Amino acid sequence: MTVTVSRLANGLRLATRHMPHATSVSVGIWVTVGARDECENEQGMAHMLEHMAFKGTTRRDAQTIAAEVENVGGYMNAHTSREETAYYLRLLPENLELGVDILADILTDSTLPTAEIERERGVIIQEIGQSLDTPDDLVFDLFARSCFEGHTLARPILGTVESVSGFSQKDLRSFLQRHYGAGQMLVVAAGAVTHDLLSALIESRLGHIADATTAKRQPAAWQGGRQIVERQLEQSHIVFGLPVMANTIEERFALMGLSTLYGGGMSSRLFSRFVKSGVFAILFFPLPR
Amino acid sequence: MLSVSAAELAAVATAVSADEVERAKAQLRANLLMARESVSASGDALARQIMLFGAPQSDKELLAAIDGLDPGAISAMAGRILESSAPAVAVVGPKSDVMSNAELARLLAA
Repeated sequence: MTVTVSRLANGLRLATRHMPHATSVSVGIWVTVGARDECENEQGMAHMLEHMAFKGTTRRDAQTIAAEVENVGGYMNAHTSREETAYYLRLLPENLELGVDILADILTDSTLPTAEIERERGVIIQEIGQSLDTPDDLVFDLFARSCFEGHTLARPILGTVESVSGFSQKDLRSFLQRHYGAGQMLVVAAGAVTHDLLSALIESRLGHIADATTAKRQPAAWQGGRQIVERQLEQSHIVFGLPVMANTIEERFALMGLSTLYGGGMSSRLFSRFVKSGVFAILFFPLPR
Repeated sequence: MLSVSAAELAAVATAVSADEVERAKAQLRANLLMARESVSASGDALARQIMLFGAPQSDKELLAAIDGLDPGAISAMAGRILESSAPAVAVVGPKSDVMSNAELARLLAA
């Protein structure tokens, strides 16, 4: 496997992992914007924009985007986290040009149709409700708040019903322009792909876009707080955490080794202590931020 | 639950067996290599390396770091985690007496 990284003149980075035995290719665009980059009245906007990206461009409506991917047997998805938003496709290699064209299209020429905004607002408000009704989702949002109360990292990625209800097409367009620039994008492909081919395709589709004006991220300070929500459930969902920084590869794997040994599998220490006694289910992992 | 978890973390900081560490290393090594068979997982890992660390990390380098793990390194990491005096706690569930953060911190420091 060969990894190659380069940068276009406009600052956009791209990387490929050529896998000689692969018969498909995964290609995605990672954008360094997430919930932590949202202003007070923008809570949930990075996530809503991820939904809206698939809802139409100047050249394609929502149905055409889905059909063009599925016509060639491709798979398309996206996710939003607190620190990134990513859009990706898995395709057969002969369809890479189509995949890159669709990804570039949805990130640079989205029309954000108002009817689709209203539809997605409803979908997201349902998602928020679903998350609030899912204790093992809710507890991690509460945990983020207990770690970083007062910082944007403490907020839920989905936003709130109130914030999402207020987003307009103008707001979404402004957020897109401020955060989706060449310097904020990383294009990555892996599988049956060469760097030269990816580079040529990306230069052609994204070589012209300008940088964005994303504000510098503010570092978060650990709060070590406490968040408790009482619910009439059969089980309690409890998360506790402590801050630690893994600065080197060796320290990062020491942390991962600890995670595995302490609570990572059916032979781990916590599994032995709790689950074998039939009392608890547990999960232990480092939050890698 | 919290008291047992805290005690177990403190115990890891004191000592772990060579068998436990070898099993953890085998799991990390297999996870990494098995993920490399997937184009999606490989692309995702490459993107995360560049976004988090600014550059890709070679599998050779990652595997060497896994091979270099020993009981001392894992106990030392557990010890560093325990140095924090301010645990964060989140709970969803029926009304119960979840210990205070101060009490949890005391157990972790013990």
